[in-house]
Amino acid sequence: MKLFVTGGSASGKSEYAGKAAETLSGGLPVLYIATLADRSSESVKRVMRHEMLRKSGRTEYVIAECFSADDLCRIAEREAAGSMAESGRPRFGAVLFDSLDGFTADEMFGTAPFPSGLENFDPEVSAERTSDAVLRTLNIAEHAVIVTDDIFRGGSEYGELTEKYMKYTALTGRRLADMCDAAAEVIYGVPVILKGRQDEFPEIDGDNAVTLY
Amino acid sequence: MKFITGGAFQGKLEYAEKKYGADDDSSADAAVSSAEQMAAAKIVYNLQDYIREHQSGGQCALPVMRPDAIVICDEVGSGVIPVEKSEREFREAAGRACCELARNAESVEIVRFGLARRIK
Repeated sequence: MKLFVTGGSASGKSEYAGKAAETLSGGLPVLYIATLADRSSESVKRVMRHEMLRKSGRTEYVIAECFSADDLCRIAEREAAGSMAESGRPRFGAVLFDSLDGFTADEMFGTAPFPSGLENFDPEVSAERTSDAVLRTLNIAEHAVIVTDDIFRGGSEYGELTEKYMKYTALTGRRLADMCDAAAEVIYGVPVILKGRQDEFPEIDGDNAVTLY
Repeated sequence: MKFITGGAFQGKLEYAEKKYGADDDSSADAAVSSAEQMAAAKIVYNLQDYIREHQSGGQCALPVMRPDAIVICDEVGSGVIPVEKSEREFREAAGRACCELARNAESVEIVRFGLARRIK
């Protein structure tokens, strides 16, 4: 299954998504697609990796850092070529993609010269391209969890480029949410169903930890 | 009246038109429509732009709308508190107006990434 997870910053969505991916992976390693806006910060990566391994205890994480759609396509191609481990089992039980808004920030602002290179940036065309590339990586394993921040409710009027970034991220997320089997909004650690049936959600801590309004 | 809210670019209008059936003629963009157009429209959207324009001191009287209207307004106010006083007043006015709409609505729906959830 593919699970879409959203929520505000520091809402507990990444922790929930991590647990969901571990449950879904069924003992196989989780492929963690890490998108960090601050790629210079080696320590952040190390801390994150350390934390994930410590928290999970039993699940092995393989971390792939992706900052562009090309990175995603490379990984998808490599895994398609060698998707089975030597044991004959799939290499990964689940893909964990965290986070979409970090990825779209990198994809939009990371390479083009700022701001001249962004004059012709088309949110709709880019959203199509990005969601296709993300979907390919989500399809590497039988299960996938994708996380995105809900950055759309500040209520301020932003500059043109920020509005373009928001639209691009929203359109990409809407396409992906449409393709996912289930979706939840995490509100201070409580996952609330946006899409799917309660019994379709992964059981976490022996509990089907989702809430219905 | 039915009330639909959610963040920017989430597909609220698309959802409303798909679910409740409307075309351009029966939808009024509150940012640019006249009072007559809003009073006649089946769907009134971008109400946050009307509030931004018409609020005073954090209060805003809503336009006259059909009793069976579908009203769409951006959910605002969850970001960092703005430095500008007018921005703070807008968020206050929009929040109060949305509470009033939700209180009077027969249904309230929230749209996230094109997915709607009925909360009332």
